[in-house]
Amino acid sequence: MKIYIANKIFPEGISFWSIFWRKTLSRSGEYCGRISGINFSEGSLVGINLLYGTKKIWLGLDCVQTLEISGKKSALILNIDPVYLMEGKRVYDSDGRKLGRVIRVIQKGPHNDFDFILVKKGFFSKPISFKKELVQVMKKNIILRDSISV
Amino acid sequence: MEKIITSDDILGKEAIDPEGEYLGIVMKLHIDREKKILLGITVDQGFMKPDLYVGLDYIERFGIDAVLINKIPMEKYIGLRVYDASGGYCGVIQELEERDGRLEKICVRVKLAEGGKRQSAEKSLIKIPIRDIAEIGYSILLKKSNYLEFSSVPELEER
Repeated sequence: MKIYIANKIFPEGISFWSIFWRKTLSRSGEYCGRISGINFSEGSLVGINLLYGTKKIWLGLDCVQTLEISGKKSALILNIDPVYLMEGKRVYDSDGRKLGRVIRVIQKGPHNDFDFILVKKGFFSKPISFKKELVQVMKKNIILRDSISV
Repeated sequence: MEKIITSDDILGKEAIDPEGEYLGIVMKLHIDREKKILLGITVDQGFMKPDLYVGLDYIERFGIDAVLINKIPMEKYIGLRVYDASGGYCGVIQELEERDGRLEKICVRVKLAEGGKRQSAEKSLIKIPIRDIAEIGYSILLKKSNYLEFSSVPELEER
């Protein structure tokens, strides 16, 4: 049994306060939110809670690349590109037609995958759903595989 | 889609790179006076940013609402934040080094001395070869952890 008292730097593990409110980045370096909490199960760390805007997100520990924290400005890097980051992105079809923005991502259960995206062009327009198979590029914005006539 | 389009169908449209990022608005068309062919377009990238000339070879398609470009302009990388594999913040890209149109090295402005005050921190420019980069996206992620602590940081230049 080890006890360290009044040491500035504890030799083992990381403290909650060293990762609290730390920035998280996706695999492609996109901002994913800030760490608002951590989850334990039977004495071991199982996940982290993120706050992305007003959204609360729970991520399993397998989504985290490393929990190593080095400097003040350092970030936690995930090994996934979370699907919730697609919300708000612009959607174009293969002909360069602007279809609108993603308003909702229909997630596949608890997995980092999706079945559909709901896209809306204007405030009063009806949302259109697009299957995952139609998506060709899903990086900074979304480009679809086919030409879509709305 | 119609095969023949007019300048009105191009000018004022958004320019989109292969990752779907919005580059700006198409502002000008460049036409060869003698050969009478279109050479390229100029994209207005917005306030305080230089205009971007895109040659016809780099245009994928003149779309209905947007012009699709098939190459990411390297200038977009300037100003991106650089993190090492463990999430440590390294600095911001200040310059790029390219050869034959290919990105070779990124020059990152880093703070070497961890000073309490900003003035005391020594700022330097380090060059990171493209082989040490794991991901280029919204930020640059490196392959190695604690990149700045390694003695093998290439070509350290003091400014």
